[in-house]
Amino acid sequence: MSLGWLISSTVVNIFVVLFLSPFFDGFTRKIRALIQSRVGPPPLQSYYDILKLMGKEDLKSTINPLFRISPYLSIISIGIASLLIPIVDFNPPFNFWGDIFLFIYIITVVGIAIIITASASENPFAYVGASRKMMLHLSVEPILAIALITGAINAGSFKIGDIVSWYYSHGPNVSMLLATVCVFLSLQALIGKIPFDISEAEQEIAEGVLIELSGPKYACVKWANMSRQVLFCLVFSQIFIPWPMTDNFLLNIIICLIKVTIIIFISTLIEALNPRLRIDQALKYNLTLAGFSITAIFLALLGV
Amino acid sequence: MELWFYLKVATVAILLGIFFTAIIKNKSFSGILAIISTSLFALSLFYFSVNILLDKTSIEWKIFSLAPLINSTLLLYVDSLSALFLLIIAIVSFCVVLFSWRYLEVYPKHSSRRFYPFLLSLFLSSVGLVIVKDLLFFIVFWEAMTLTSWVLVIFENQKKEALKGGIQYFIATHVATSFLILAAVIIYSYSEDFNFVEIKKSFTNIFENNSMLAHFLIFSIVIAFITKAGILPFGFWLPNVYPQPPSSASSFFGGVMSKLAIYGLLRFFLSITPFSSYSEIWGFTLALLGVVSIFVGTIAALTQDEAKRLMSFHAIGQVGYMLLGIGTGIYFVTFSPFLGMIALTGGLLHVFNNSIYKSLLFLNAGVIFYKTGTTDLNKVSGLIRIMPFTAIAAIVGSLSIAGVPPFNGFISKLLIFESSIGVMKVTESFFLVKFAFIIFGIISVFISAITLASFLKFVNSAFMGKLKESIKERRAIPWSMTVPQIILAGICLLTGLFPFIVLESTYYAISSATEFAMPAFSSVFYVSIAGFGVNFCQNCTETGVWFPLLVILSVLILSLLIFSFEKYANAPKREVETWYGGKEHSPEEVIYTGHSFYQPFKEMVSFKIFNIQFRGLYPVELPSIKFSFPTIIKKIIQPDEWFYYPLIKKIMKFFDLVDTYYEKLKEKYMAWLVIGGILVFFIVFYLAGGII
Repeated sequence: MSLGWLISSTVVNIFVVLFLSPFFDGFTRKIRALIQSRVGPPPLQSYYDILKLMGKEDLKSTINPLFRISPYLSIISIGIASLLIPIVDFNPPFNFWGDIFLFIYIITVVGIAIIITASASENPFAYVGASRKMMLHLSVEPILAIALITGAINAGSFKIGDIVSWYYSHGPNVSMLLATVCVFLSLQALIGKIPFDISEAEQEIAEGVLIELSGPKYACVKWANMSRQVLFCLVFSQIFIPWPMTDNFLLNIIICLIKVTIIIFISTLIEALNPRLRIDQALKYNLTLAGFSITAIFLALLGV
Repeated sequence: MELWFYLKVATVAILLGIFFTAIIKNKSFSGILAIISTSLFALSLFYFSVNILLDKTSIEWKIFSLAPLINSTLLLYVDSLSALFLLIIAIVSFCVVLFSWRYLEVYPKHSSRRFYPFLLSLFLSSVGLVIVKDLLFFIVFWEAMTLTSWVLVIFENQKKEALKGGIQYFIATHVATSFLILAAVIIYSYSEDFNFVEIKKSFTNIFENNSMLAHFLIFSIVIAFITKAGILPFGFWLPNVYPQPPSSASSFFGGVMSKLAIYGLLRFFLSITPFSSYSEIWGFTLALLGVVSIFVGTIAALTQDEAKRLMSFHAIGQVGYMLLGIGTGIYFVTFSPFLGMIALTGGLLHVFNNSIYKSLLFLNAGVIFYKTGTTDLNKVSGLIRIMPFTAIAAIVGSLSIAGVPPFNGFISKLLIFESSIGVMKVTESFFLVKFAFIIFGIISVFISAITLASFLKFVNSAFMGKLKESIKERRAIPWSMTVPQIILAGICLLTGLFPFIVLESTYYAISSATEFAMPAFSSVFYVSIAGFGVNFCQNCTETGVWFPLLVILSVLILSLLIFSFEKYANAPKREVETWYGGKEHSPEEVIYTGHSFYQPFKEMVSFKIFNIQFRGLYPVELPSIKFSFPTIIKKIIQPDEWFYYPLIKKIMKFFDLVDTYYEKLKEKYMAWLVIGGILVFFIVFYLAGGII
């Protein structure tokens, strides 16, 4: 593992997760528009949105210093989480740096940042959104944790790179397939799209956690939400479906982008064709799924 | 011998402190005296323990012996394990006393003479507890700790809850202590000496020959310690007791006192008993009890709306994490020493980390009480405007207890998770046992998110939101209450960023406490200034890693990028009113109270069994115990009902009768005289035998 590889793969990861995410968002908007028989915005519209918002007036509803910092924390922590995902190789760029628990906790920090932003904004709608976001997070986190732990049990290591290379070389077994299915079923909840966009429900609580944000802060949180979509699609496509993986640096990136596009397409279909769930329904769905996914661990211990 | 000098200084300082605070009536002056004596105590204790931790030595000092009377000596013995606890006591005691100085102003009717002497004796007995090497004196210090803390619990002796909590605490801890005494008496009959070394010999003997007795002894000792630590279901008293004393004392209770029970467990399982099949069974039991506490305690905490009660439930949950680590360690240490050591180190490290952030959080609650007069999360909000330092410290504490990187809770939780899930590699143990430990690990990962949820609720409802107008003018917060919080929050961040500071000491504390040959530190942990890697077997590659320094590096780079981007965009800023959907509301109308958080989830974990309402898997009110005996037994055990009272009634009736006759004849005084005279005459006549 040379320094050159480290830097180039870091740049690739950050680029894919942070800088390509508005493009993928534009892609989902276009597909959604086509499904709903609209023309829809141009694919680069989300870039324009972010750039425009960056220069817009920054309205402050509070003097709370956390309100100023935490929107940026959300996008920063997504950037850090992206360093733990393998794109160009079996090993993520920062494989030597933390393991699955670190990954689970960093995606928690993304949630914390948005919750603190919401509650610091002093708006009761934002509080409702924050409370819902936390509940969604604590119900969906175990599913991802159990799936990653299943991989860790199979591979005998907690490092994401070891899990992926074991999975690639030993092929899918029953337990990993089960874990993959569970992660797929929780993907919409992880991304926070319909039917699980309960914390930002526009019609009910006026975008909940985002209600008081404007200007650069709103741009950051919007950007973080777009990047989160790409991040979790990458988690699914690169950790739970690592095939095909080649020795070529560029080819791997292209394969990864194709896979992510397909998964985002499926996720958009689900989003466009489903209604929003209520929070108690979402909680029941996620916790039942989490209980069910423990079977994967049982199977992994049996060695199948 | 020179090191003992510092311990002597500490003892003398605290004894003087106890004496002077007991005789001085002025609250503020007695607070200053307490600060001086505790600073001296904490400094010398700090120096003493750090020296031992760095030198990795152990020292022994025999003070006196009760030899002809009973085979017991006051033998002081300090190894790395004791020194680590001394370090915790030194840090927390200083912060607590400094905090108490001005904090006691909120209790104008209560004398400080009922607070400082007992708090300082609590420090002293805690120190005594961790350095004695003799079971009899261990019990003496244990009892001293219980009694002094009990006096602190009933500090507000006019409050009904305090008295109720006090009686629960008194009964629960004394039942626990009686188990400890029972075990001590039984083991004394075998060893005929209270010294730990002699006791260890007899335990080895009992373990080989008498399995029933061995299980009973371990059971009694484990019950005694986990009751004090607050492990459910034996820790039912804890949520009613920890909120009662002044917050600074609660801080010492939550930060140190409940951890001393963990010290007892560690000392018992590592130093006093040999590793055997018993430690496997009891290791599993401890891990199971730990997980029950983690699960029930933390989910119950989520439903609490009172800050100190919420933290008390978390005290139960967090002790569960320690017990999970220690139990896993004891179970696996004999056949997989690497895994066992990681688990034990994780458990002990969690003790250290927990004592720091738990005391910090109780102090935060204390500041809220000082400012607003309540710790009810439904009544306070928006306090970050008037107490920014406390708010930041509370956020640091909350993130630490939830185990969010890069704070200190993450390191110990990481080790506990990795060890309980790392059992997958142990080939020697049974499949279902491994499955159980992995489930324990997953439950603790899940509960970590619940911990975060409940502390975000605490932070969000207390510090965020609109500030009520009525709170602004109350007391200003003095520096003496801010400094302890900053110290503790600083330690949380420092040990989180540089885990090498505590990791090796913790590891050595475990391996020096036991005679079992442990693998070398460098083969289990790969430690550098940036972080550490974890090995599960000899010559393996690292399976778990955590390098916090790199996180900071990347956070800095990314934030530099994004903030420069914002600077470049140069958006104009303007202050506006909060938008309530087009309506105007006063701050009081739009406060989102603590009770409103997570309602759907709370409903999911609330249910009713036989008239007992469970909220968050925990009964809202502990069921009162009602016996009804058959009437015949009632009669037998209450002889006064059918024998004494009727008898008394008859006698009284007789006296009444006499009395009425007397009343009737009272006026005829002359007649009484005549009758009496005749009577006397006849008696005398009779006695004289008719001679007259």
